Amino acid sequence: MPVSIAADGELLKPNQVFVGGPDDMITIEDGHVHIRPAAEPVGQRGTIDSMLISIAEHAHDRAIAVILSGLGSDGTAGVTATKKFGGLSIAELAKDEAEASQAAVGPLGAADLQLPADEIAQHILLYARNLSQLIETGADDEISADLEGQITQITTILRNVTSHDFHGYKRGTFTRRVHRRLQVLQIETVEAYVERLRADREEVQNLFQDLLIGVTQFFRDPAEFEALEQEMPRLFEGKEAGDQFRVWVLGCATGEEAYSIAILLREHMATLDHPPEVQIFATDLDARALGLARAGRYSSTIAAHVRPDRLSRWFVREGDTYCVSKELREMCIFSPHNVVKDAPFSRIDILSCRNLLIYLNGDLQNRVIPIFHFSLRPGGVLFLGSSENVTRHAKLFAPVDRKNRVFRRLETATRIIPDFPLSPRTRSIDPQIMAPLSGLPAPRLTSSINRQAEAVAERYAPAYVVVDTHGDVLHFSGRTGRYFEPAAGAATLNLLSLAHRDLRLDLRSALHRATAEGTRIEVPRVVIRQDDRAYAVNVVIEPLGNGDVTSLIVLFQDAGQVAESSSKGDGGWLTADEHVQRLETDLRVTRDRLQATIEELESTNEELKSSNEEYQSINEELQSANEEMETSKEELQSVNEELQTVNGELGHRVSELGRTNSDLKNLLEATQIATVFLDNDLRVRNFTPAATEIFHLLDTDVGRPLDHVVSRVAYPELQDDVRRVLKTLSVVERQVSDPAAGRHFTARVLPYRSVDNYISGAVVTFMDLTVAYKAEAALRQSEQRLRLA
Amino acid sequence: MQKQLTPTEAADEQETIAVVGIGVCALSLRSFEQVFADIDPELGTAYLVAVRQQEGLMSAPSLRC
Repeated sequence: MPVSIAADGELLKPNQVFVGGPDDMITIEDGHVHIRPAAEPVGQRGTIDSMLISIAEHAHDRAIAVILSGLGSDGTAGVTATKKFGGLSIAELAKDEAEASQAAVGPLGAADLQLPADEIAQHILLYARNLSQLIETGADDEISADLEGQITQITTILRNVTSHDFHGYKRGTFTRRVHRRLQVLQIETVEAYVERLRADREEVQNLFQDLLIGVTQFFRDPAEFEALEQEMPRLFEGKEAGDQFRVWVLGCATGEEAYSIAILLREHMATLDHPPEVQIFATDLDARALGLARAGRYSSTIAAHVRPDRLSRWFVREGDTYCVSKELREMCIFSPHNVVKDAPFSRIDILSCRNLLIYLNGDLQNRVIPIFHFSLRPGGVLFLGSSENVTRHAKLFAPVDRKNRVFRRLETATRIIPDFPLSPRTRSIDPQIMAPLSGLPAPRLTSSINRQAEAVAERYAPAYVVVDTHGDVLHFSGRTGRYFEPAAGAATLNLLSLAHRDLRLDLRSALHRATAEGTRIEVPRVVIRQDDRAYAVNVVIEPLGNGDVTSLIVLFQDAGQVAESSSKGDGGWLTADEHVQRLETDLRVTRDRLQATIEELESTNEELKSSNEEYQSINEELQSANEEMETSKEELQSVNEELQTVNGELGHRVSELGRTNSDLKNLLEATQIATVFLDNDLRVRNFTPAATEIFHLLDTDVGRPLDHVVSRVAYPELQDDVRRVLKTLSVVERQVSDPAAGRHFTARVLPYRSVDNYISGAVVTFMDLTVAYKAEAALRQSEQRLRLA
Repeated sequence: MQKQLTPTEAADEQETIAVVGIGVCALSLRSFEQVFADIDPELGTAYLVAVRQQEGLMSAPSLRC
């Protein structure tokens, strides 16, 4: 195949390779190769993008863009243009990147195919042959006719998967995009493609992304951006240096809208003495689009939408492309985010969500708009697309400029907790709730109470128990069995449930009085029946503890067996007076018990009322605390989301740095030019592998002065040359040689300029000219021989 | 001998010719060689190669070889 360094004006021919010169820009104009010298410095030329864009504009669906590895972001605008015009884009998948390819979100992740180098030719062949067959057989028209019939099915699949409705989309553009996918995938019929869409959600997303190409642009709807610009002074009010001004751009796609807002912000910041720090969070679902946004490189067609003064101020011309300036790029953090599923950002001053709500149904809108309200600071601005509105949420937002869709966040009387996107989590169980389930409480008697109880018990030496003020038993003495008869049901240590039923009534009233009055209560001769026998028991209850009653001792003094006649009480041998007297006694006792019970009930009622009020109060406090916790949780989620975003951005930059580092390493090794980097003190900062052939350098020599390193070449002036270069910033060049090996070099000493344009050392290079020297010597000898002859 | 195309034929050819644009730099020369080693020389497509220049490297001479 003929290969030539392209000349300006050459006609484009099949089966011919035109190579652009190292300092040339190569493009196509009217079917001819156009060559012009690059005006920009190396690294800022956009050579690849310029060529690919011109090919896409010229050849449309016949354009095939191939991006080989190592190009960085150069080529991203070309890939976008190729896709836009219906062509095929292929990016080389470098071998060491193969594993990470699926997760690749770099600029070239946008290419249609990511292939290893050995598969690229095959796909070019398939695509080109398919194209020519379509043209020859007229199948192209057949496909277009078939497509017309299948559009509804395709749009329905798209709506089901992406929630975006393309029924109203321009028919021509739609069919072109679908057609392109058929060609990229080498699918021959529309029916087969519809089947593919049904089976492969990723392909639906690919088609969706293709359909979105070219929808967004810089300052789309200029009047609306002007309305937003009008709001800037109010939004910046009270913000000083050190404060933060935060912007959230949802659905940022390839970044045009985020950079447009960044331009407005920068222009306003220029009018302030102490502008705050501005941060723009630009989010989108599509990681590939974000890759393009991060690259910040756009075709020259943006000049139609961006004012010339803004174009020259905020963009750097690189060939036929425009790159956003570093200032704008550094303001923006691009991150994948789903507003429906992920936690929102918080404390936002401007929230731009243009042409995204129109794709959400009413329910989703009702969920999302309160989230916007939550995200914005009081007085923050919501910037919507021309077909969107928040009039149904009049309590949350008020129009600032209804026509241009600028809304202000309103303060609400009560805090509105949005339906926050939450991840499921396991609730931890409150140990206090768990406690009763784990078994019976096992309270311990304090030693002081124990000692006091023992002292009292010694005095009476009867059976006893120690209870707390609720009647729960804390301690048993020996020989209490006679006085207990646990009630059926759940196990409990409550004395009133444990006590013999004949004792319960008296115990209840006595315990209550003892607790309430804090005095010793004695209940004499309570009769209990066991095994058809009656026993009298004196019950004594005495409070324990210093000051407040915290526990009580209940003693059971055995008063002996009660005679049967006496115990029965209703024997027929009693006289009438005795009978009446006995009844009166029983009645008095019963009255006393009743009175005690009534008092106890009243007291309990009072306590219950009081407890109820307390519980109500605690409940309200808990509710309030809960609300606070909810708020804190949401804020934490927001902060977390933000941290994840910043982390993602940093990760992206680290990976870019890693790639650049790797490129530089390869570059240095590939050059075979011995290079030594020195700092201002003439210490070795770095060196290439080839430099070890000039100097006896080891990796451990980094940081050592150069004069400590033995040189193989005879170059005694090296130190002086380096000093002179550092002083004068001029380049020194010398011819030096290695007498032992018979090698000759051109040594050059240049100043080392840092990225910030500081001179932070010198670079010494040695170019091997041995072959040239030998050739020259041979030539001289030959000439000499000729002369002699 | 190659047939000289009339202006109309040349214009028609321009309408049908597929154009492959290849972006290449010094680090991707091996891949570049690999791609062209596998390409069918009679495929009928035109190829434009743009070289991303990197300071200190001369890619174009390598391409000429």
